Amino acid sequence: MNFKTLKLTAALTLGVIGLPALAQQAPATAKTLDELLEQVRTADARDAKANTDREARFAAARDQQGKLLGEANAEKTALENQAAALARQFEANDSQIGELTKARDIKAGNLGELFGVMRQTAGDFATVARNSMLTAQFPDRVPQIDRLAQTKTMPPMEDLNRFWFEMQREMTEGGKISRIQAKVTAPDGGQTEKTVLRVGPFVAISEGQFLEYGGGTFSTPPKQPPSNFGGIAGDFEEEGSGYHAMVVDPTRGVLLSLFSQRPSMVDRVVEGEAVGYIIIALGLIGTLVAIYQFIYLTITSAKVNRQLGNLSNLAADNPLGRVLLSFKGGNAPKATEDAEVVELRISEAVLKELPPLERGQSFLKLAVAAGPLLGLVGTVVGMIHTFQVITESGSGDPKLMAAGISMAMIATLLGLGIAIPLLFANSALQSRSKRITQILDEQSTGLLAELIEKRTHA
Amino acid sequence: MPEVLLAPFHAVGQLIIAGGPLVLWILLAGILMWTLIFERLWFFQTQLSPMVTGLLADWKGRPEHQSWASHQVRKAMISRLNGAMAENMPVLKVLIPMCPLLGLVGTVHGMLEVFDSMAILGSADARTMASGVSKAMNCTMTGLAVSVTGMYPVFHFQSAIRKQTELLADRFTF
Repeated sequence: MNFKTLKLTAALTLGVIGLPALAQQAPATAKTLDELLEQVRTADARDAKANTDREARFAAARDQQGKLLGEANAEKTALENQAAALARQFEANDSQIGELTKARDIKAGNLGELFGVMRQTAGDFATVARNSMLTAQFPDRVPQIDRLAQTKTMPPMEDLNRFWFEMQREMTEGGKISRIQAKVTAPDGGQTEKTVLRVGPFVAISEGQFLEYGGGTFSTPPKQPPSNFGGIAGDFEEEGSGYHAMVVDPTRGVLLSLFSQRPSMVDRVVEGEAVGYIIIALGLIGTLVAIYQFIYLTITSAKVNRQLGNLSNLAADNPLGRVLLSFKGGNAPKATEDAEVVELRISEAVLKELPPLERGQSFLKLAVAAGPLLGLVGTVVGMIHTFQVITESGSGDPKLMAAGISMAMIATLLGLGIAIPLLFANSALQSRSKRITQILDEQSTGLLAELIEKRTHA
Repeated sequence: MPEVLLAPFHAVGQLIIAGGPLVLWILLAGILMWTLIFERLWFFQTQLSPMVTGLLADWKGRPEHQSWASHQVRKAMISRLNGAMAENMPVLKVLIPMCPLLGLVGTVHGMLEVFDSMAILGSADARTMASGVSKAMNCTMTGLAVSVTGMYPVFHFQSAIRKQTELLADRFTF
C-alpha cells in the first residue's frame, strides 16, 4: 500500500466515519492520521456508549409501559365489576319501583279515576263559571277553577274544598236576586259603574234596561226587547220585597236578544216602503171621513128624533123638517092638493137630502176594497224582492230573503188592518143613514098625511 | 162544580195564549155579535107584538082607510115596524165577514213571526216556527168558528124580517 492509497482510504474513512462526528458537531480537526484514528476510536466508543444508554432507556420505558398497562387492565376489570354491580342494583330498584307502584295503585283503589272525573268536572264548571253572571260578583273564582282543571298532580285539600264551595255557591247564589255594583259598558263603548239587579244567573237589569253579559262585564245592548218587557223590568227593579212578576230568560240572554232583534211595528212599516205608506194614508183619510160623517149623522139623527116628537113645529135645521116644509112658503099643502103632486114634491125633497146623509160611504167602500188590494200589491212587490235576492245570491238563505218577505207580509197586514175597521165604520154609518133615509123616504108622507088630518080635524 | 163552570173561561184563556191578541179581538167581536143576536131575539119575542098591537089599534081606529093620506099613514106604520125589526142588522151582517178577516190578520201576523224566527236564526227549524204557525192556525180557526156560529141567526133574522113585514102588511087591512 502506498501513501497515496492510504491517504485516500483515510479520506474515505474520514468521509464515512467523520460524518457522525460532524453531525455531533464535535469535529476536532485532525491534524494527523493518528489523531484521526484516535478520534475515530474514541468516537466509536462514545457512540457505543450512547447506544447502550439509549437501549437501556428504551428498555426502562418499555417496562414502565408494561406496568401501566397492567394497572389500567386492573382498573378496567374493577370498573366492569362495579358497572355490573350497579346494573344489578338498577334492576333490583326497577323491580322494586314496579312493585311499589303496583302496591300504591292497589292502595289508591279508584282514586285515580276520581281525580280524572274531578279535573273534567272542574273544566266543565270553569266554562259554566266563565259564562255565568255570578262571575261579575265573584271574579276571582275562574282562575282558581282553571288551575284545578289543568293540574297534573294531586290537588291539595284546600283546592278541593274550594271547588266544592264554588259549585255550591253557584247554586245558592243562582237562586237569589241581588243588587251588585258592576261596570256597565254603554253602546258607545264608555264604561260606568252602576247598580245592577241580578235575577239569579238568568237576567240582569239596570235602570229599567236589560243588560247583556259576556266576558266578565255587563253591557247595555243597542236594542231593548219590546216595551212590555222593559216595563216589567223597571217595575221589578223598584221593588224591595215581596213577590213580583219578572221576565226570566232560562237561556241566559239568548231569548231576550232574539226578542230584541225582532223588528217593532214601526220598523216593519218602514220595511213596507211606499205601498205601506199609501195604505196607511188611505186608512187615515178613511178614518177621518168616517169620524166626520159619524158625528154628522149622530147630530142629524138627534135632530130628526126631536122633530118626530114635535111635528107641529117644523124646523129647517133637520132633513125631516126640510122635507115636510118643502111646500110653497113653508105651509103644509091643502087637503085638496093633488096627491101625486105631493108625492112628487116629497120625493124630490128627499132626493135633495140623501147626498149629505150618504156622504163618505162610497169612499169608505172604496177604501175597504182597495186596502186588501193594495196589500196584495205590496205582497207581490215583496215577493219580487225575495225572488230577486234568490236570483242574486243563488240560495234560499232566510236572512237575505227576510226583508222581502217582511214587506210582503206587512203590506197584507196593513191592507187588512185598514179594511176591517173601515168595514165596521161603514156598516155603522150605513145603519144610521138608513134609519134616517127610511124615515124620510117611507114615513115622511105618512107623517105629512097625519099632520094634514090633524089640521083639518082641528 | 166550579171547575165545570170555569171550564169555558179556561178554554178561552188557553186559546188566547196559543193564538195571541187577535184571538181576543175575534172573541170580543163574537161576544158583540151574540149580544146583538140575543137583543134581536128579545125584540122579536117580547117587543114586536105590543108594537104591532098598538099600531094596529091606531090603524083600526082611523075613520077611513081609503084616502091617499090613509095609504101614506099605513105605509109609514109598516116602514116603522120594518125599521124597528131591522135595527142593528147592518152591524150584525158586517160582523159575519169581519171575523174571518180578523182571523186572516192573525194568520198574517203569525206568518210574520215565522219568518222573523227564520231570519233571526237563519234556518227553518220546525221548533222555532211552531209558535208562529200555531198563532196563525188558531186565529184562522177562531175567526171561522165565530163567523159560522153567527151565520144562521143572521140568515134567520133576515128572512124573519122579510116575512114579518109581508104578514104585517096583510094585517093592516083596508
